[in-house]
Amino acid sequence: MASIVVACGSGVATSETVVGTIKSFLDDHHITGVDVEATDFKQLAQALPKFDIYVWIAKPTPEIKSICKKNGIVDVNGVNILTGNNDEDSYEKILWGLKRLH
Amino acid sequence: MTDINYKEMLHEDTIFLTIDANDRDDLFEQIAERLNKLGYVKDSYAEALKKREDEFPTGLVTKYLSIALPHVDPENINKPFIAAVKNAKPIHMLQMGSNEDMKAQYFFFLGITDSSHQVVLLQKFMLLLRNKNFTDELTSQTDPKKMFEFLKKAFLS
Repeated sequence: MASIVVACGSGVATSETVVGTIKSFLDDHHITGVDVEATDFKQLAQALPKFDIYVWIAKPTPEIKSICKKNGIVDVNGVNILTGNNDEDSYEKILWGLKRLH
Repeated sequence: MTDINYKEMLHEDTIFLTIDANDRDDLFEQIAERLNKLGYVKDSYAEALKKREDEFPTGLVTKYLSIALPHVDPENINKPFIAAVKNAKPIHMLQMGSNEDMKAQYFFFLGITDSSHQVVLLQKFMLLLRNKNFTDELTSQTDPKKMFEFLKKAFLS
Protein backbone atom coordinates (compact mmCIF):
# COMPACT_ATOMS: atom_id res chain seq x y z
CA MET A 1 0.00 0.00 0.00
CA ALA A 2 1.28 3.47 -0.89
CA SER A 3 1.81 5.61 2.15
CA ILE A 4 2.07 9.32 2.85
CA VAL A 5 3.32 10.88 6.07
CA VAL A 6 2.57 14.46 7.07
CA ALA A 7 4.78 15.97 9.74
CA CYS A 8 4.47 19.11 11.81
CA GLY A 9 5.88 20.04 15.21
CA SER A 10 3.38 18.31 17.44
CA GLY A 11 1.43 16.07 15.08
CA VAL A 12 -1.93 17.33 16.42
CA ALA A 13 -2.95 20.52 14.67
CA THR A 14 -1.62 21.39 11.26
CA SER A 15 -0.44 17.94 10.21
CA GLU A 16 -3.83 16.38 11.05
CA THR A 17 -5.48 19.17 9.08
CA VAL A 18 -3.30 18.50 6.05
CA VAL A 19 -3.95 14.74 6.37
CA GLY A 20 -7.69 15.51 6.11
CA THR A 21 -7.15 17.79 3.11
CA ILE A 22 -5.03 15.20 1.28
CA LYS A 23 -7.59 12.46 2.00
CA SER A 24 -10.34 14.66 0.52
CA PHE A 25 -8.16 15.32 -2.52
CA LEU A 26 -7.55 11.58 -3.03
CA ASP A 27 -11.28 10.84 -2.61
CA ASP A 28 -12.16 13.55 -5.13
CA HIS A 29 -9.78 11.95 -7.61
CA HIS A 30 -11.06 8.42 -6.88
CA ILE A 31 -7.64 7.32 -5.67
CA THR A 32 -7.87 4.47 -3.19
CA GLY A 33 -5.37 2.32 -1.33
CA VAL A 34 -3.27 5.18 -0.03
CA ASP A 35 -2.51 5.41 3.66
CA VAL A 36 -2.16 9.00 4.90
CA GLU A 37 -1.00 9.67 8.44
CA ALA A 38 0.31 12.46 10.65
CA THR A 39 3.35 12.34 12.85
CA ASP A 40 5.29 14.75 15.02
CA PHE A 41 8.79 15.87 14.31
CA LYS A 42 10.31 13.87 17.17
CA GLN A 43 9.24 10.55 15.68
CA LEU A 44 9.76 11.52 12.07
CA ALA A 45 13.37 10.40 11.54
CA GLN A 46 12.58 6.93 12.84
CA ALA A 47 9.27 6.54 11.02
CA LEU A 48 10.16 8.17 7.71
CA PRO A 49 11.94 5.29 5.87
CA LYS A 50 8.74 3.19 5.67
CA PHE A 51 6.82 5.92 3.79
CA ASP A 52 6.75 6.69 0.07
CA ILE A 53 5.85 10.37 0.25
CA TYR A 54 6.75 12.91 2.92
CA VAL A 55 4.65 16.07 3.20
CA TRP A 56 6.47 18.70 5.24
CA ILE A 57 4.85 21.46 7.27
CA ALA A 58 7.85 22.07 9.49
CA LYS A 59 11.11 22.81 7.72
CA PRO A 60 12.94 19.54 6.99
CA THR A 61 16.27 19.23 8.79
CA PRO A 62 19.41 18.07 6.93
CA GLU A 63 18.97 14.67 8.64
CA ILE A 64 15.43 14.34 7.30
CA LYS A 65 16.52 15.44 3.84
CA SER A 66 19.24 12.81 3.75
CA ILE A 67 16.79 10.06 4.84
CA CYS A 68 14.52 11.07 1.94
CA LYS A 69 17.39 11.01 -0.51
CA LYS A 70 18.71 7.66 0.68
CA ASN A 71 15.29 5.98 0.58
CA GLY A 72 13.93 7.65 -2.56
CA ILE A 73 11.11 9.31 -0.62
CA VAL A 74 9.32 12.11 -2.51
CA ASP A 75 9.11 15.31 -0.44
CA VAL A 76 6.14 17.65 -0.87
CA ASN A 77 5.43 21.18 0.40
CA GLY A 78 2.51 20.78 2.82
CA VAL A 79 2.24 24.45 3.82
CA ASN A 80 0.78 25.21 0.40
CA ILE A 81 -1.75 22.42 0.90
CA LEU A 82 -2.69 23.96 4.25
CA THR A 83 -3.19 27.48 2.87
CA GLY A 84 -4.38 26.54 -0.61
CA ASN A 85 -1.84 28.97 -2.07
CA ASN A 86 -0.08 27.33 -5.05
CA ASP A 87 -1.27 23.95 -3.84
CA GLU A 88 -1.47 22.63 -7.45
CA ASP A 89 2.28 21.99 -7.45
CA SER A 90 2.06 20.00 -4.23
CA TYR A 91 -0.84 17.87 -5.45
CA GLU A 92 0.90 17.23 -8.75
CA LYS A 93 3.96 16.04 -6.93
CA ILE A 94 1.85 13.70 -4.76
CA LEU A 95 0.21 12.24 -7.90
CA TRP A 96 3.60 11.88 -9.54
CA GLY A 97 5.00 10.21 -6.44
CA LEU A 98 2.09 7.74 -6.34
CA LYS A 99 2.35 6.91 -10.06
CA ARG A 100 6.03 6.20 -9.66
CA LEU A 101 5.20 3.37 -7.25
CA HIS A 102 3.36 1.27 -9.83
CA MET B 1 -18.44 18.10 8.33
CA THR B 2 -21.72 18.19 10.21
CA ASP B 3 -20.22 16.70 13.34
CA ILE B 4 -18.03 19.72 14.15
CA ASN B 5 -18.67 20.86 17.65
CA TYR B 6 -17.67 24.46 17.07
CA LYS B 7 -18.97 25.42 20.50
CA GLU B 8 -16.20 23.44 22.05
CA MET B 9 -13.51 25.72 20.59
CA LEU B 10 -15.13 29.05 19.75
CA HIS B 11 -15.76 31.23 22.78
CA GLU B 12 -16.70 34.86 23.05
CA ASP B 13 -14.25 35.40 25.91
CA THR B 14 -11.24 34.27 23.83
CA ILE B 15 -11.61 37.01 21.23
CA PHE B 16 -9.13 39.83 21.81
CA LEU B 17 -9.26 42.67 19.28
CA THR B 18 -7.53 45.48 21.16
CA ILE B 19 -4.14 43.95 21.97
CA ASP B 20 -1.16 46.27 21.60
CA ALA B 21 1.96 44.13 21.79
CA ASN B 22 5.40 45.28 20.68
CA ASP B 23 6.69 41.94 19.52
CA ARG B 24 6.02 38.23 19.50
CA ASP B 25 7.05 37.50 23.07
CA ASP B 26 5.06 40.46 24.37
CA LEU B 27 2.02 39.20 22.44
CA PHE B 28 2.41 35.64 23.71
CA GLU B 29 2.72 36.84 27.31
CA GLN B 30 -0.34 39.08 27.08
CA ILE B 31 -2.49 36.38 25.52
CA ALA B 32 -1.21 33.71 27.89
CA GLU B 33 -2.05 35.86 30.89
CA ARG B 34 -5.61 36.38 29.66
CA LEU B 35 -6.16 32.72 28.77
CA ASN B 36 -4.66 31.63 32.07
CA LYS B 37 -6.98 33.89 34.05
CA LEU B 38 -9.93 32.45 32.13
CA GLY B 39 -8.78 28.92 32.96
CA TYR B 40 -8.10 27.75 29.41
CA VAL B 41 -4.35 27.20 29.81
CA LYS B 42 -1.83 26.13 32.42
CA ASP B 43 0.93 28.31 33.86
CA SER B 44 3.38 26.60 31.49
CA TYR B 45 1.58 27.96 28.42
CA ALA B 46 3.51 31.19 27.71
CA GLU B 47 6.93 29.54 27.81
CA ALA B 48 5.64 26.55 25.83
CA LEU B 49 4.33 28.93 23.13
CA LYS B 50 7.69 30.69 22.75
CA LYS B 51 9.64 27.45 22.68
CA ARG B 52 7.42 25.83 20.13
CA GLU B 53 7.23 28.90 17.90
CA ASP B 54 11.05 29.05 17.94
CA GLU B 55 11.27 25.43 16.87
CA PHE B 56 8.24 25.29 14.59
CA PRO B 57 7.07 28.70 13.36
CA THR B 58 3.35 29.01 12.58
CA GLY B 59 3.14 32.09 10.36
CA LEU B 60 1.10 31.62 7.20
CA VAL B 61 0.89 33.92 4.20
CA THR B 62 -2.52 33.02 2.85
CA LYS B 63 -3.93 34.52 -0.31
CA TYR B 64 -5.62 37.52 1.31
CA LEU B 65 -4.33 37.62 4.86
CA SER B 66 -1.11 36.93 6.75
CA ILE B 67 -1.77 35.15 10.01
CA ALA B 68 -0.09 32.97 12.60
CA LEU B 69 -1.50 29.94 14.42
CA PRO B 70 0.52 29.66 17.63
CA HIS B 71 -0.11 26.38 19.41
CA VAL B 72 1.51 24.06 21.91
CA ASP B 73 1.35 20.45 23.01
CA PRO B 74 -2.00 19.47 24.61
CA GLU B 75 -0.41 19.01 28.06
CA ASN B 76 -0.36 22.82 28.47
CA ILE B 77 -4.08 23.23 27.72
CA ASN B 78 -7.00 22.85 30.15
CA LYS B 79 -9.90 23.17 27.72
CA PRO B 80 -10.06 23.63 23.96
CA PHE B 81 -10.26 27.09 22.35
CA ILE B 82 -9.48 29.25 19.38
CA ALA B 83 -8.31 32.67 20.51
CA ALA B 84 -8.82 35.21 17.73
CA VAL B 85 -6.43 38.11 18.24
CA LYS B 86 -5.92 41.39 16.44
CA ASN B 87 -2.80 43.33 17.37
CA ALA B 88 -2.64 47.11 16.98
CA LYS B 89 0.16 46.73 14.44
CA PRO B 90 1.70 43.94 12.39
CA ILE B 91 4.57 42.18 14.17
CA HIS B 92 7.41 40.02 12.92
CA MET B 93 6.80 36.28 12.82
CA LEU B 94 8.40 33.41 10.95
CA GLN B 95 6.65 31.37 8.29
CA MET B 96 5.71 27.78 8.80
CA GLY B 97 7.76 25.42 6.66
CA SER B 98 10.31 27.92 5.34
CA ASN B 99 11.13 29.81 8.57
CA GLU B 100 11.26 33.02 6.50
CA ASP B 101 10.38 36.41 7.99
CA MET B 102 6.87 37.81 7.65
CA LYS B 103 4.53 40.22 9.44
CA ALA B 104 1.15 39.37 10.89
CA GLN B 105 -1.52 41.40 12.61
CA TYR B 106 -4.06 38.60 13.06
CA PHE B 107 -3.42 35.57 15.24
CA PHE B 108 -5.43 32.46 15.95
CA PHE B 109 -4.10 30.73 19.02
CA LEU B 110 -5.18 27.11 18.82
CA GLY B 111 -5.88 25.31 22.06
CA ILE B 112 -6.11 21.78 20.78
CA THR B 113 -6.42 19.03 23.35
CA ASP B 114 -6.33 16.06 20.99
CA SER B 115 -9.55 14.99 19.42
CA SER B 116 -9.70 14.88 15.67
CA HIS B 117 -12.92 16.89 15.24
CA GLN B 118 -11.11 19.96 16.59
CA VAL B 119 -8.83 19.52 13.62
CA VAL B 120 -11.82 19.50 11.28
CA LEU B 121 -12.49 23.00 12.58
CA LEU B 122 -8.98 24.09 11.61
CA GLN B 123 -9.50 22.53 8.20
CA LYS B 124 -12.72 24.50 7.81
CA PHE B 125 -10.92 27.68 8.89
CA MET B 126 -8.20 27.19 6.28
CA LEU B 127 -10.91 26.84 3.63
CA LEU B 128 -12.63 30.03 4.83
CA LEU B 129 -9.35 31.94 4.54
CA ARG B 130 -9.35 31.27 0.80
CA ASN B 131 -12.47 33.38 0.48
CA LYS B 132 -11.96 37.14 0.12
CA ASN B 133 -15.41 37.97 1.50
CA PHE B 134 -14.51 36.06 4.65
CA THR B 135 -11.15 37.80 5.18
CA ASP B 136 -12.64 41.23 4.38
CA GLU B 137 -15.37 40.74 6.92
CA LEU B 138 -12.98 39.21 9.45
CA THR B 139 -10.63 42.20 9.31
CA SER B 140 -13.48 44.69 9.58
CA GLN B 141 -14.62 43.38 12.97
CA THR B 142 -13.97 45.59 15.98
CA ASP B 143 -16.43 44.21 18.53
CA PRO B 144 -15.63 40.82 20.15
CA LYS B 145 -19.30 39.89 20.38
CA LYS B 146 -19.85 40.59 16.69
CA MET B 147 -16.63 38.79 15.81
CA PHE B 148 -17.84 35.77 17.76
CA GLU B 149 -21.18 35.77 15.95
CA PHE B 150 -19.41 36.21 12.62
CA LEU B 151 -17.02 33.31 13.24
CA LYS B 152 -19.82 31.07 14.52
CA LYS B 153 -21.87 31.77 11.42
CA ALA B 154 -18.90 31.26 9.10
CA PHE B 155 -17.96 27.94 10.68
CA LEU B 156 -21.52 26.68 10.41
CA SER B 157 -21.87 27.64 6.75
